[in-house]
Amino acid sequence: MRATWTSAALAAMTATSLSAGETPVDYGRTLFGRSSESVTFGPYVRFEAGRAATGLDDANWVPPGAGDPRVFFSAGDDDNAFVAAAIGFDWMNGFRGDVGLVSAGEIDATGPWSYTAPAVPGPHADITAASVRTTALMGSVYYSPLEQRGVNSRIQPYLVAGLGFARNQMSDWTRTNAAAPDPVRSFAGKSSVDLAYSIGMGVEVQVTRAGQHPVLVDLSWRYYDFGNAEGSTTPLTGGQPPREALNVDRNDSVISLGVRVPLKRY
Amino acid sequence: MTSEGLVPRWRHLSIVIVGAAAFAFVPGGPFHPAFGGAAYAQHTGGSHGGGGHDGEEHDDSGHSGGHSGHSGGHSGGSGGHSGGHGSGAGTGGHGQGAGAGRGQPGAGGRPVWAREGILEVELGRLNVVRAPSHVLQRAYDEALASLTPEMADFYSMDLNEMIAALSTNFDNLSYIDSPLQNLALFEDALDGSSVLTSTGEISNTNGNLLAAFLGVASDKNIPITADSVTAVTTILGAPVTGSAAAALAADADAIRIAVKTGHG
Repeated sequence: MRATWTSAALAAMTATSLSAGETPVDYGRTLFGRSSESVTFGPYVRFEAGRAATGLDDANWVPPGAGDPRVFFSAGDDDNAFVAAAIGFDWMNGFRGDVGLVSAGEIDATGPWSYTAPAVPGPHADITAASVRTTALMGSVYYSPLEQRGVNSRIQPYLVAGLGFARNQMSDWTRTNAAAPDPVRSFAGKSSVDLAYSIGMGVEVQVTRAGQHPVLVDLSWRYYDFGNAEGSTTPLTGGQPPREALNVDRNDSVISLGVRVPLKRY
Repeated sequence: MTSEGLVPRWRHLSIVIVGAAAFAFVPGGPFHPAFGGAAYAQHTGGSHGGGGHDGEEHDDSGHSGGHSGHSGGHSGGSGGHSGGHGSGAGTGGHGQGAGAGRGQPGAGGRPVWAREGILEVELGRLNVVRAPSHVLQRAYDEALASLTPEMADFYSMDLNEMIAALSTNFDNLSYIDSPLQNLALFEDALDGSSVLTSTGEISNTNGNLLAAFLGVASDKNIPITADSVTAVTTILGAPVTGSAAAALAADADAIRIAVKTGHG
């Protein structure tokens, strides 16, 4: 599913980028018969919404027993709604930057155990209840090579890189092992903050005609690494706390549609 | 997070940080030393696309300066006001050549107007003339891309007709309103010839067009004076001074007042 999405997005972006420089829309006769992107210099706001293919890697915990191994799980990948809003500044020389709030949604973090380190024969407990919700504050820098070269096309492909902080909320989590004395044990959730980064690419198209207040729409693909989400070791149902709570690394591959509007018109 | 997971993650993070820094500091990037104030100095007149002026013309010594014989119907005219802006004094106009053009860096890489200083004058909306050259270039391109046949009617009026139309028929007029676009067209016309007349669909004197561009670009409540004309044209690298500045200021201010009257 994720590969299909990514391929489709990249194909669309490539096709659109290849047509950059051509006049995409005829807005009626103008004296000079030319097209140009509008002046977008200055502050802007940007909104985007899309779909995230979320992956949870390295899901594991360390049970209470001193001799217990670290148990890894196969936490399933899933799709999520993704929304973001940002405020930024466009230098109009090929670079713009913004700071935005990102909501990557909540993903189910349950799964059966897959292996242990060191290897110890099972059965071991499965994670039967857990989820991870992520929000992030991220600064992003966008680079538009055509714009930097002075091509005032209404279609501008770009590369983007972002760096920020993610707040990962692990819900209360439950491990289940029918063979154990306590088959079902639950532990409290916890929020943690971790470094987050992102890289991606996209294509931005100005949908308003020259002379009007510019509105720009973009299609983008971005990979986000939101860092680690970790639950609490506090038992909700009594008993010994685990030596390490359930924790997972979260990453999202996002395809989104965005709208960018300059706040000031010169 | 396990130590096994940490290593590739920090490796990825390092790549992103180094990549972002490289983006930001490459020549032309937002944090490259040449960007910002010095960006004003990058402008060399450039080619403004088809029909645009060539910056090299600005640099020729002994530019004949100005253009004589404006045939505009407005009293006073403004013939020859653009003066010479080559390295020698203009010979045909009232203006005085004042050295290198807008984009040529002076001592220490600063633009000429920053080195020599400009008059202390309230510019209001005209302050956008200080925008980096690539922004002014985009505004120029946008102005040409948005110029419709209806606008051609306006730009073909003589000054008195423009003033009357703006004062009494403002809502039905079609013209370029953006201060930055008007100043980009103003800069283009400072060499004595406006790109607007190159299509053959607009017939007007350069003086009328200069006054229209400057008057529309101006803040509606700040009078345009000879000093403000000199300041703006100095920033653009083609100073207009003396009686030429006064004549252009009078015409542009009449446009400004007409816009204010018509707009209410």
